[in-house]
Amino acid sequence: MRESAEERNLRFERDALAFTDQLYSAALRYTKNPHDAKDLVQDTYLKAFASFHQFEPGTNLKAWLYRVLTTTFINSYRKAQRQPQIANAELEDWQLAASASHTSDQGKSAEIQALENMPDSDVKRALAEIPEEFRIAVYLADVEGFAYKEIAEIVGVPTGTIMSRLHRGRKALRILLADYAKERGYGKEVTS
Amino acid sequence: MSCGEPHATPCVEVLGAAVFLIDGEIEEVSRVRDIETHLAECPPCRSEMDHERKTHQMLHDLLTRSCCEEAPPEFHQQLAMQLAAMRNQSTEFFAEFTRTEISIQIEEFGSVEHHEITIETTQEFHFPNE
Repeated sequence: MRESAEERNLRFERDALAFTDQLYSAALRYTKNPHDAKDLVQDTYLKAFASFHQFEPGTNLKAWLYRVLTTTFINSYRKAQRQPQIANAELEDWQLAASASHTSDQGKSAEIQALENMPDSDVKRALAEIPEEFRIAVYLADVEGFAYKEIAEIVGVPTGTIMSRLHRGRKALRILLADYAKERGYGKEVTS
Repeated sequence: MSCGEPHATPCVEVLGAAVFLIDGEIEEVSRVRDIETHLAECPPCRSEMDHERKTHQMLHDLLTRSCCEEAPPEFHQQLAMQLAAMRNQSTEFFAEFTRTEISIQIEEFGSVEHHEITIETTQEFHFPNE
């Protein structure tokens, strides 16, 4: 039997609203402030509601909501916030910094030690500092656990681009976290 | 980085694939097997791989621990109300009115006549959805 509009709308409220906290947390990372994050999540739900008839039941609702969230952010909020887009030259710099970070055994144990003592505030600060494209890729992969292919669909770019952003983003994050650790005086090179 | 020993799969290739192996994004079983064979016979790559795996896991744990804000309760309510309102826009509702008319007639000889008429009406409201 065909689902009526009323039934479909009720289903949307029941199933989609379960993701409010998750989407809000992602929106906080995207927009970097609670006010815009709430607006973004609200816009996401209103858009998703309006196009829910296009969603195929049985496919991944969470991924679909993240796609609406991410495209809404990229298309409107980012423009409004006027954040500078990362230039190719910058990408090269990040890549260079990442590949230069080859570590000795001592460096490795220092990195582990730094990560062990890392406060939440530093993790959020580091995420906020890395370029937006990297941040979105890292968040979707490492917090939400989406596969490369799913992230590519959510963001609307080829899988290869996601792989590169993810790789560079994680490296950049590790470098920043190591820097913070040094600032705070933990994670110094272990002395024997 | 290379350990200098000859391998069927070169060190640089294994290290380049490390992250994909950790992410579970290598689909070809034979490729996974090649890398695992290499790791079994190459201590420097194994050490590098162990470190990657460990930092990857720690970074994942840190991120999930730090990024789990809950939306304020009033925001949850606000969303639920907005969606319910949108859903209701596409529906119709019925309002039932009940009106009772009472008339009392007093005749000149003192007899009193009392009439009550109850009228029930139902009104339909349609809200445009499209």
